[in-house]
Amino acid sequence: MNPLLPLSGGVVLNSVAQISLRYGASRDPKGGTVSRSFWIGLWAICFALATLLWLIALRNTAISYAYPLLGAGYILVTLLAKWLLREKISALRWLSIVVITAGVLMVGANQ
Amino acid sequence: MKTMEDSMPAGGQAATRVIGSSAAGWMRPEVLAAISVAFGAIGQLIVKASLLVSNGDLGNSAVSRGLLLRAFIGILFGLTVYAAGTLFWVRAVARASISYLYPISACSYILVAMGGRFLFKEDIQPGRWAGIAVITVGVALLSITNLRGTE
Repeated sequence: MNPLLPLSGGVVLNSVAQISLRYGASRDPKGGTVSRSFWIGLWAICFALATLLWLIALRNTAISYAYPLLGAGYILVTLLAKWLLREKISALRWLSIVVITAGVLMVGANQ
Repeated sequence: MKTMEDSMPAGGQAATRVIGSSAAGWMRPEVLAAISVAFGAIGQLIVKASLLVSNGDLGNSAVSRGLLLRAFIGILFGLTVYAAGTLFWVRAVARASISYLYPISACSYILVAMGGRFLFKEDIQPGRWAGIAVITVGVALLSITNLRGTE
């Protein structure tokens, strides 16, 4: 199996987990206080599945290739934070994301 | 014992970034962060080593069941070491700002790659090393944007 499949799946799930945790941990959870446990539960499930996918990806892949690719999580979390959480992303932060993206692509191209 | 906080002027958040304070060396948040990064990288490398163990023949024989058990225990141990690193991180960020410490944690990419190179004899092309360095710089840069307080 192409390791990029479980790797990208894990990155997506982990990013969803982080956003869920942000929703669940906020003072006024999205969808009312009753939904707090829903978001925390979603975080736990996504986090566990992401860890499992990481183990699957790592099994037949060099760790010096797979581990840096997890940096893609910074890109996705930042985009989700902007779109879903309406966070303001400074120019310097966008620059950092561009740098990380370049690094992830460089590692990805050198399997 | 005199702690880092004791030697700080009250409310001086910037002062928590002072390097070379009189606090005991091992108490310094930079050291705690470095230990956390090392634990994180070592934990990942233990997980990888355990997965390599399980890469052998996975038949039904008792031998391979023993191998699977060893791999499973190794994976749990690696994840535990990784989690222990997180505890050091929590202690570190209690004493200094995250944006100051995060560039230290960005070094995890280099540590893990070095582990892959020297422990597992992974063949790392110059392009991959360059990519790893670029990601490290990017993550460090991302973390210092926290200094601006965009929360």
